[in-house]
Amino acid sequence: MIDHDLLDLRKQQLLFASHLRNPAAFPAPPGVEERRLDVYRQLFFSNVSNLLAGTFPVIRSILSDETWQALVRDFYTHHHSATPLFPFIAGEFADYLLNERDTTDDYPFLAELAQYEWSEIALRHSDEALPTCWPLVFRFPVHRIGTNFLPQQVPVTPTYLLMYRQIDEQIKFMESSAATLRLLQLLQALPALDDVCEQLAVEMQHPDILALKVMVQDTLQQLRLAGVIENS
Amino acid sequence: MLTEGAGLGVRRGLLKSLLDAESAHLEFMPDFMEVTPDNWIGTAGSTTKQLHQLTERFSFFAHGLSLSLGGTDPLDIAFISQLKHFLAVHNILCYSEHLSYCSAGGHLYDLMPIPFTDEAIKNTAARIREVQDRLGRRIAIENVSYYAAPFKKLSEIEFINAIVAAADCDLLLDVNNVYVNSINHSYDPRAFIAALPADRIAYMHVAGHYVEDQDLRIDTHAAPVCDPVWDLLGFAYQHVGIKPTVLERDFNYPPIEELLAEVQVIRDIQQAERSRD
Repeated sequence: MIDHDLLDLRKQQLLFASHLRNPAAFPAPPGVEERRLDVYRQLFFSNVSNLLAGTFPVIRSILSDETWQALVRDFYTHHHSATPLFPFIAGEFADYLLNERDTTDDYPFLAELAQYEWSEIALRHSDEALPTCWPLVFRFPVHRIGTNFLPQQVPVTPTYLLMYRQIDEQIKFMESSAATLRLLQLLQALPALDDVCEQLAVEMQHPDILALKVMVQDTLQQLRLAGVIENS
Repeated sequence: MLTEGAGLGVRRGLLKSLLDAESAHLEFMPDFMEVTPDNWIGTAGSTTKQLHQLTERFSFFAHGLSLSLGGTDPLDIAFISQLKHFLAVHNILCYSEHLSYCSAGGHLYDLMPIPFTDEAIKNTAARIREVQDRLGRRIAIENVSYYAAPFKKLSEIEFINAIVAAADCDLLLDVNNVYVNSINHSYDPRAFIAALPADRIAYMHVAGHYVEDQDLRIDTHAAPVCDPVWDLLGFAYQHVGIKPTVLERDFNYPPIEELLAEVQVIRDIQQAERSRD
């Protein structure tokens, strides 16, 4: 039997917090009316559940109420959220799905879908100069997932996406290719376009550097027109 | 520093209508506004730009959520630095936080009642002092609404007054919370306000709440302020003097005209108190 009067402050707080994180697994503090505990249990869980439903609309839409609530409960119980900033709680949830959750019974794409939905939020708040573009690679075509498309098998080819924030703050994405993603990466690293093309030719084992340069110029022009990269 | 006036808590969902209202009918606008840094630090984009427009045009207070002043997880020093920067960038006149804890082995993102004990007084007061040192300013702590008081050894008023004295901080008197707590824990709200150190009260809050039961009210910020809370605000002005007062509304937004009319009620009560003198 625990003598609750002898618990220090840390233990008292952990006891109450554990109960709110998961009332089924952890006992309530002693001597508190059930009705009042219930106020806290409901307020805390609906707060985090509503917040995550707002930031992961696709995940919320493809799960039943029961599955969603079990998922949020598992996150709330097991994940030690570090951020004090409300707009970034979504990142805690995406991290938890990627690194901590036992995903045996989940859709195989769930963690990737969370990364995709979180990337949109993170990009919205990034302090990079606009336009800015994030190249993203997924095993699943996460941008097409919805109630009518719930793939169970990993496709043969990965999905390459460009998620970008335009000058006018609008966030968009487009399907892309491994070569284009690599091109954008090299453009960040190497100052001269000629160097980029030479490096790309080596990596792609492309025999005709002049033809490759034309292709690169063409691709960059398309990306500029779409507002993915800056006009230069 | 503002010494009186009627304010409104700014939320993301209110930004655009506030900016629109400002260009339409300036005379009904709040005297000042209040923002929650924890919803804005690290953000960018069009709504963040709108916030900057508002903080450039109005006097602003800030009201935090995540510091966990009463908690036992280590204080988040990096977060306090971000706060300090936010307060400077937005020219925040007064910064307040909740007399509560919201983390224990990580954040829970809601407010838990600190055990009313001597150990918690020492812990909380030391943390408030450290925050004040790091921010280089006094902060105000808010009396929170609570629905249960686990591990309680002292009364709420003893607990609050001991912390204010030990931490040498200011108070944000949330009048709705006093009302809600007085029903939930069967005490006299006027006696409670009269027992607070009046000279420490920097500003006040009013908000609407939800009637769950005759003896159980929930502090939802989702409804208009009720008459007994307006009456209690009038009493607080009589006892403490007129202080800047913020209307908080987090959910179920009415048309902006209705919210501004509620802010006007704060002004009317302040005017009534002035004419009483």
